[in-house]
Amino acid sequence: MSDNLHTFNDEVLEQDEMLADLTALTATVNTNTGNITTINNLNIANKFAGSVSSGLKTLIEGNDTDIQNIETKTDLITISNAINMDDEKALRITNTSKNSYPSGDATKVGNISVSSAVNLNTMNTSITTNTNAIDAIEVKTDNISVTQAVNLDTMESDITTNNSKITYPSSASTKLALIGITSSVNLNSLVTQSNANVSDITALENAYPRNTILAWYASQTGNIFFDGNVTFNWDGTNRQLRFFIQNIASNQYVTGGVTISKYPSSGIQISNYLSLGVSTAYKYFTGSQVPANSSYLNTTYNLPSYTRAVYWLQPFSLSTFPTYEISVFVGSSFSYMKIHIKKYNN
Amino acid sequence: MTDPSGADIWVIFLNDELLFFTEDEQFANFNDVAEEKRPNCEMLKNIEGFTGQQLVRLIQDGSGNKIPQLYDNPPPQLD
Repeated sequence: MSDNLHTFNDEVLEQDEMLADLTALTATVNTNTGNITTINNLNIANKFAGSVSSGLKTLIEGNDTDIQNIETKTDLITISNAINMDDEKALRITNTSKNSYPSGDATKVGNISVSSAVNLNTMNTSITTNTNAIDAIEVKTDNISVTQAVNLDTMESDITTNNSKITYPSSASTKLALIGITSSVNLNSLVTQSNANVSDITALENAYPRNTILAWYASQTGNIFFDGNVTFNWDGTNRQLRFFIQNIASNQYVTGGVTISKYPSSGIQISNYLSLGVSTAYKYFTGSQVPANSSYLNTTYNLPSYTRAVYWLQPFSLSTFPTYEISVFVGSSFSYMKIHIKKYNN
Repeated sequence: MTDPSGADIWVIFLNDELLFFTEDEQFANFNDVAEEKRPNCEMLKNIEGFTGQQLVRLIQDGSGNKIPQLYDNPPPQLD
C-alpha cells in the first residue's frame, strides 16, 4: 500500500489529532485577534507623531536637543586617546583625599614665605649657577687668613693713605738728608750703649760736681741758670745773686749764705735757713726768706767792684736735692763778672 | 734795638745814671729799687748803641730834653 492509503483506525486517530490542533489554532487565533484589537491605531500614530509627550518624535527631538547640548560640552573637551572614566573617577577620589598636606609637609610649607610667583626651575638654575660661582669664590677666599672682622673700606682708605707714603714726607726727607752714615749701624746697640752712657754720666755727675761758667754784666738783671730744681737770678740793681726754688717738697727747707771778700774790708759773711718749699718770689742768700712769696733784701751784701763772693745753697735734710756753690768774681760793678756755678748731685 | 742778638734791652736810670739793664721784659720795672728811690728812676728801651758793655747816663740836650749818652767805663780808683 502507498503512503496515501491507511487504515480506518489510523484515519480516526489522524482526525482526532487534527481536531485537537484545530482547537489550539482557534485559541491562538482568538488570542491574536484580541491582541490586534487592542492595538490602537491612534496610539500608534500618537507614538510616532509625538502628539503626546511620550511620542517617539518628541523623544527623538528631545534626544536631539540633549545630544546637541552634550556635543556643545564635548566640543570643549580635547582628548586624543581613550580614557577609562572609572579609572579617572578612582583617581579623582584618591586625589580628593589629598586636599590637605600631610602634617609633616604642612609644617614645612608653613615655614615657606613667598609673596609672589616664584619659578622654581629658574631658582634651581640660579642656585646651580650661584653654587658654581661660590665654589669659584671659595677657591680665592680659601687663600685669605683672617681672625676678626675687617673693615675693607677702612683698609682701602688706609692703603690709599699709605700709598701716598711711598716717599718720605719732606720734613722727614730733610732730616734723613742730614744724617751722614757710611756703614751699617745697629740702632739697638746704639740704644743699649746710650743707656749705658746715661748710667755712666749719672754716676759721674754724682761723683763730680757739674760746673757751669758764664760771663754776665754786673748791671744786668736776668736769669742766669736753670736746671728744674732752682733758678739763679742776678739782681743788677743791687748786685746780688738770688734764687728761686722750682721743685722741692712743701715741707723742705733750703739753707745757704754768702761769703764776700771786698775792698777794703776783710770781708763779710752770713748764712741761715733761707726758704721753705717751692718759691713764688726771687730770694736773697742773706737771711730767712719764709714764706714762699717773701723776698728780703739786705744791701750790706751788695757787690761793689773788686769783689769775690761765694754763695751756697744746701737742702736742710733732703738728700735728693742738689747742692750748689756759686762763685762770683766782680771787676767793675758795671762790666762783666765771671760766675762759676758748681752743682753737686746726691 | 742795639743788641747784636736782636733782643730788646730795657735800661733803668736812677738820678740819670745807669742803675741796671735787662733783656728780660719781666724784670723791666722798678721792683728791685727801694720805694723811696723809684720817683727818681726812668726807663728807656733800646738805646741806640748800648749793648751793656758801655756805661750810659741821661743828659739834657739844648732843648732841655733828657737824652742818653754812652761813655766808657772809667778805670779803677787807685789808692
